[in-house]
Amino acid sequence: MKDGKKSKVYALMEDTPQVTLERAKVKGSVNVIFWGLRIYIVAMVVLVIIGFTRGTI
Amino acid sequence: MAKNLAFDYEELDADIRRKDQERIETLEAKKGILAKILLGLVMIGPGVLVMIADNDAGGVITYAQTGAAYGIGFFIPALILAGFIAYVVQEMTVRLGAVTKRGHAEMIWGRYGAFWGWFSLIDLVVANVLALITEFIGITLGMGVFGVPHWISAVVASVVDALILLVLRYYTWERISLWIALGNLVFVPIALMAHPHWSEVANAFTNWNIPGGFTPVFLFVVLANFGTTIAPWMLFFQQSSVVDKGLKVKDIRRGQWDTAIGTVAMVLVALAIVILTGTVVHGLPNAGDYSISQILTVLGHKLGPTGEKLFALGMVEAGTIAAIALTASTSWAMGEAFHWPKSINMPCSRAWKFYVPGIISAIIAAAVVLWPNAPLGFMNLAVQVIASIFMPAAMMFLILLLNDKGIMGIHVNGRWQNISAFVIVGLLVVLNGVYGLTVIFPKL
Repeated sequence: MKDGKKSKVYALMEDTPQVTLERAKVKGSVNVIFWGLRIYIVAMVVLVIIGFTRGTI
Repeated sequence: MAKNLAFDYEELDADIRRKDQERIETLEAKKGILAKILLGLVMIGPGVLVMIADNDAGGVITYAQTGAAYGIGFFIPALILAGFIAYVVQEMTVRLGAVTKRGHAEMIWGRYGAFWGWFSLIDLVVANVLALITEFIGITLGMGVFGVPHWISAVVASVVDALILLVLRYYTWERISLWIALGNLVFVPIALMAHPHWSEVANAFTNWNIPGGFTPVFLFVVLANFGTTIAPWMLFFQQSSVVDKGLKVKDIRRGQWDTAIGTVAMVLVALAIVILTGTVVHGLPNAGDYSISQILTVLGHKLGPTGEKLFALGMVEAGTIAAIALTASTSWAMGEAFHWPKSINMPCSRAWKFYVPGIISAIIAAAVVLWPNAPLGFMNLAVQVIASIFMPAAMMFLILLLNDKGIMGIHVNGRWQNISAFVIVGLLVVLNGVYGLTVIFPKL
């Protein structure tokens, strides 16, 4: 147990090389998040456009 | 030939960064309290800088007007909560930077592709330039109290901003920026000069209510205060800064302390400003509509010229430190996105592509400030609109990256870190959405 804790601490301290960048596979819940993000951005842009055209912003 | 030059850049950058890392390792090897104190001071940097730079000229104006309009009741607990939120968000950038050794723009571009890369970069750069304009406005207003003409303040501010980025290498850039950041604490003695009613401050915690009810204007002020506390540029800035400082995985804990110290300083200064104007300005006729110039005049009447001049000096400092951070953030993000040189360690003669975007942003900002009848109100609004659309997106990328085991390994977000981060994104989306609806449909 003690050794396990110790090795976990060392693992936490161990340095990592610069990460290699590969395109992430967007699927499952990540895909849902991206669609949520797109919808949010479009909704906000529409609200901003309405606000500007009505002169309420 | 070009390949050899590129290699030289990286070697040079690595050499300077190695020296910075050796400075840390030498202090780590030493025993004794003095060495520990020195190590602590050397490790202070990205976290304190990002948090103090967040108390920028626009932030100082927002806090001052908030205190003037609403007093110290609602916003003291709200700002402490905002401090916790800022810490949760910024701490993630420390881990991401130390583990990946790459900046935020580079990570988004590399992991999620050019569309989201361009989306983030354009938002960031436009928001940075617009924010830089507000910093220069703050500087010119502050220097105006000392009788300095606006054009001189704007030109000097942009030259100083450019020189700090161009001439200094990371370690000295960070140290000098930290000394400038220290000036942000000037708002604390000014608040004490106002002799605030501490019982009223204590009451704010026991009797937390919304002054004047939940109106669109109040929601706007809440959003402005949260928007002042967490902003997209902060994510990009701190992660790039952690990478440029050369922090390793073993330094994460110290980076977290650096961020925590910065958060405490940021909240302390924000509270000081709200308490100051909440005590001195709140309650005067039409105090809710006061401009920063009117607030400065009231401070001059009630605290004397020293109070007014110290506050003006604080605005100049706030604008300066934020300008330094925003300029660096723009250069880092462009360098990371386009695989240009991306380190303050590189001399400008050999890495001009890295420095040009930051310098151009400073020149544009100074030029706009000097442009008569520039639509400054519109620009200020545009900063908020861009930030409110972009911040949830930037947060989502941060959360996705921090949950990517392939990148983060054992340093992925824990359960509570994820819960906190999702609650923050939810809060941002709801606040932005409700505000958008109340502005467009005022009768809702």
